[in-house]
Amino acid sequence: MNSSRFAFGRLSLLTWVFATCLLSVSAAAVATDVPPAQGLQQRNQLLSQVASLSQLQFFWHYQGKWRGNADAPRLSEFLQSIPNAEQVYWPSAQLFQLDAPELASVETLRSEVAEQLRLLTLAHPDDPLLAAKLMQLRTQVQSWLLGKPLHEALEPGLAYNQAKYNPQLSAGRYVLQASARPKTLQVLGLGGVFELQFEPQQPAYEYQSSLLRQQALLPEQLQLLLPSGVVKTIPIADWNRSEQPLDITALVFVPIPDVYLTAETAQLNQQLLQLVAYRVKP
Amino acid sequence: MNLTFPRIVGIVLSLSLFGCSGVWESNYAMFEYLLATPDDETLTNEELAQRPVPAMYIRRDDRGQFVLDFSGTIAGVDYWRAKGNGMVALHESRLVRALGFELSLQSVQGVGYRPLPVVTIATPVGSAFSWLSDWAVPEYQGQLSHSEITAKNPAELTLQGQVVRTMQLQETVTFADGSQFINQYWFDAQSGKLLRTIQKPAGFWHQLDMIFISRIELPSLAADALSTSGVTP
Repeated sequence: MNSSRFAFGRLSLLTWVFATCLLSVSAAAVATDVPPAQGLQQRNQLLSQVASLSQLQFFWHYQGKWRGNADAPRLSEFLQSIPNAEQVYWPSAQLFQLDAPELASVETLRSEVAEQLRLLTLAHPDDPLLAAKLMQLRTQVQSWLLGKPLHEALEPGLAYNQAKYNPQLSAGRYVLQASARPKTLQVLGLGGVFELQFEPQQPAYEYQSSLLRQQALLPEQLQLLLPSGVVKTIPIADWNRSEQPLDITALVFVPIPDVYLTAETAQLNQQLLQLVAYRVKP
Repeated sequence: MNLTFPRIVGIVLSLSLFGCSGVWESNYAMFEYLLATPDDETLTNEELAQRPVPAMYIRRDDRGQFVLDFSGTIAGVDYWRAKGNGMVALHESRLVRALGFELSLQSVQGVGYRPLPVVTIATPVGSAFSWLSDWAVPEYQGQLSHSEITAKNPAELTLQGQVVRTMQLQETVTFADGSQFINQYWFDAQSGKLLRTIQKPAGFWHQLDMIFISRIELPSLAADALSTSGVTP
């Protein structure tokens, strides 16, 4: 394999050293807690870290550091430049673009969701626990770092060997979300995103008791958001439950039960699911 | 290369499917045919020497063997590609991907934060391993397997007409469903390279017999050609 084809082939050593030194220190703060309503500011801060290095077309943030390529690579070239790639669990890896134009409309969606959560909180003055969880969810939504997900399968061998899985990436600023195989599921529900111990092959409905500790009341079905962008619905109520297990690669969305929703917040679940697809995990 | 009449007919039929079914499925139509064919595909030493990239024979269960080409080491994993876009991949000696099968193996990883355990010529008898495999459907995610090296003996292997001295290791694997299988590895006694392995990654799945024919030291003509290929699996 000709390694000179990949990643940093056309990046001058001097520029690379400068960019790495400049950015690695400030990027270390990326994964730390963000105060409420700071998600957009966080993205802008991240982007500002590389704004001055306009001679590079393609930047990506991974493991606390920005890295750059002179030109936007093909997906296979990009994947082959990932450090410690053999430790990555590729089925759940995702790539997000932080400066995609469509994120402006996603920010509008975020504002709408936050407003609906505020209205829903006001609609339940006699249920302080529910109101607290709704406000907690609202705070999280406002702090999410949002990016445009690339819905291609991030499987290095597939990208390298098959043209249809190897798109040309566009110039821009990206975040690679990739880690070792997770032991826990990411769940979004009342109160925001939390983690749940993953039990392989266990039907989804058997997670009900664990979910109830967080949610108080469960909907009739869960929705699974896969890295590909596909949404799967799994019924879990006593009268409709299926034997389907949860998926370790998915984000599990626990919709807010209909009994809590009002006429003006009827679209909240759908909008939350749309919005969380853009969430970059801290 | 032996292209028998049934094999040619099968390949033509498979190619014809490209225009009339979903891209993903049709991409693998020929691979499915190759996996099922009863005939062995073989390469002469001359054909092997002339190939631009290293080759492997692969056999699913008791079906015929066919040739895969080495496509590269990507993210620490050696990928081998078949006609029809099927692929298998190994991390050192361990099978970690099998794509294009009716149920594809997506990932094999160590348990927790431990690295994936692999077997080498130096692995002693009694070594014990655990790993998790994930498959293309959630019903088969997180399959936990345990294994132990239960035998290690010198053995002769005849490959491409050459008798090779090897060290054969047997790994007794216990799968999540309680079933067992004995994985086998033959390492070149001199170089330590893996020459052949038979592995079954889950109790519900197939066994694959993989022979790394380009790693065999061939007579001088073939060896010269191989050494100029510039590719090492």
